[in-house]
Amino acid sequence: MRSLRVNLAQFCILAITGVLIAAFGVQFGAGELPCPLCMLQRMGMILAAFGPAWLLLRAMRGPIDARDYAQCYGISVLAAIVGGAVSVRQTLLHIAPSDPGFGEPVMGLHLYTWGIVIFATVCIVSGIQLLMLPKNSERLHIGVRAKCVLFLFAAVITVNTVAVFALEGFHWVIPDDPTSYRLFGDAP
Amino acid sequence: MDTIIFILLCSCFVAMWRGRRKAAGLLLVLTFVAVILLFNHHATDALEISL
Repeated sequence: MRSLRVNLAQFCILAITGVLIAAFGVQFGAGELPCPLCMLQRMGMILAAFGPAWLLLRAMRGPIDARDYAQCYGISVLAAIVGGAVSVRQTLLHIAPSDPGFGEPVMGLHLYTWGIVIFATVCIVSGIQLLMLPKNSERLHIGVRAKCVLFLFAAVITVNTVAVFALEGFHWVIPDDPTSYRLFGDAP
Repeated sequence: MDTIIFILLCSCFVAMWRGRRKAAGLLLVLTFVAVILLFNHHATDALEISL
């Protein structure tokens, strides 16, 4: 059961990291710059992954109990609610039948619609994890694989920070429909 | 604002990594508040455009 908890936490982080890397693929590969609401959804996803990440990081330092689990997955549920609200908002902005939507669809759905699916999944997985809380505190074995997942997640957050700074430049917010990286192509 | 939020996210992760629970918690709350404020800004902005 302990290894299942560790594996599930790793899987959650890896799944969200994979989605963020795919978003990089769309941004840098297809050249579609993210809008402000897309960026808010990325923030929501990173915050949602903070729950299991914090769980693994706490487990590295000692035994963890039900309260730790509840706090970590509580963070994920809150982040999923905030991120899901942003996804729903963006979906509703483009819900009119004649509206082509923002960006190209991926596997039939736009990225913001996938966002709703991802945040709903985070809520469901966090709920399942909360159902499996241990009665007593336990020591989890955090192996090399978990550390690699955490390093990858940290790298994705760092690259996102650099990318958003390049996109925003020295302005307060990202424009509604960005066309260039304002750090390089626009004076402050 | 987006850059600031991502810097907050980075700081929060570093605090978690180093085991600073209070600092990580505080940064997490700050990040949530900043994300909600930014969402509110964009939501009202789009509402004004549509009106």
